Amino acid sequence: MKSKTALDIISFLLILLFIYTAVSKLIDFNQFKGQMYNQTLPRAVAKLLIWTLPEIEILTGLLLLFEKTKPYGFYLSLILMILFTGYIILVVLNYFGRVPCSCGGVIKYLGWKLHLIFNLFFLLLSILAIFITNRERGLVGKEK
Amino acid sequence: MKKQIFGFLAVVIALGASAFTAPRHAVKHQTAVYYWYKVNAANQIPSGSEAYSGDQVTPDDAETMLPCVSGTHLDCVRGFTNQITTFPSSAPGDTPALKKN
Repeated sequence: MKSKTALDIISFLLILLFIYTAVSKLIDFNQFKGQMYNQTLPRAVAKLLIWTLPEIEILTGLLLLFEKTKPYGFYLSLILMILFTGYIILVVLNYFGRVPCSCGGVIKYLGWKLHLIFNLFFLLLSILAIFITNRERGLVGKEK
Repeated sequence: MKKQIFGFLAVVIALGASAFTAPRHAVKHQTAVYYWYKVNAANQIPSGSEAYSGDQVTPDDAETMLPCVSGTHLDCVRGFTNQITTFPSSAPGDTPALKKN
């Protein structure tokens, strides 16, 4: 598969993920807010995340939309997926006890273990996209 | 523009999917909305408490999003029609409290 095609498919899937989850959170904002306050995060952090998380997800989706900003989108996606996956690993290891999911849309019905697999998949996609982008840049640099 | 066709397609699918999977609140058993406060072991709402979501929430939604259930044990959270300003408070709330199991 050509690198360009692979990057297009990965960004398509990541845009789908981030825009879908962000919009689902915003559509049912009251529920999202309650779930965030119910996490084991300090209240100030929960408050901050309520107002920034959907926007950061939308920003990631938008960065992935355009060729010039796509690499930044992949890095932001990687950072978000590392944070989300790390949090889920702690939940699966029962570090916090029972914690409700504050995910958008149908993702909240996955259950924590499936959610972990789901996130690991997107984490790997982000890593792969960064790897391909950097390799492509390296090749272009060598050609010059 | 042609280069971004897959990206825009993803945005359209995501928006469409989120619109179809959004929960519908049209049918609710209880439509009244309340501010919910956590109750401590002394059966009081402690000083400095803030309403759980910062907004009014229906009992059905509260039961879904708060770590409390309609049990028979001690009060877990109490719902009020208005935000309370005096703490600590033993006020029973304006709706049956959600209990700890």
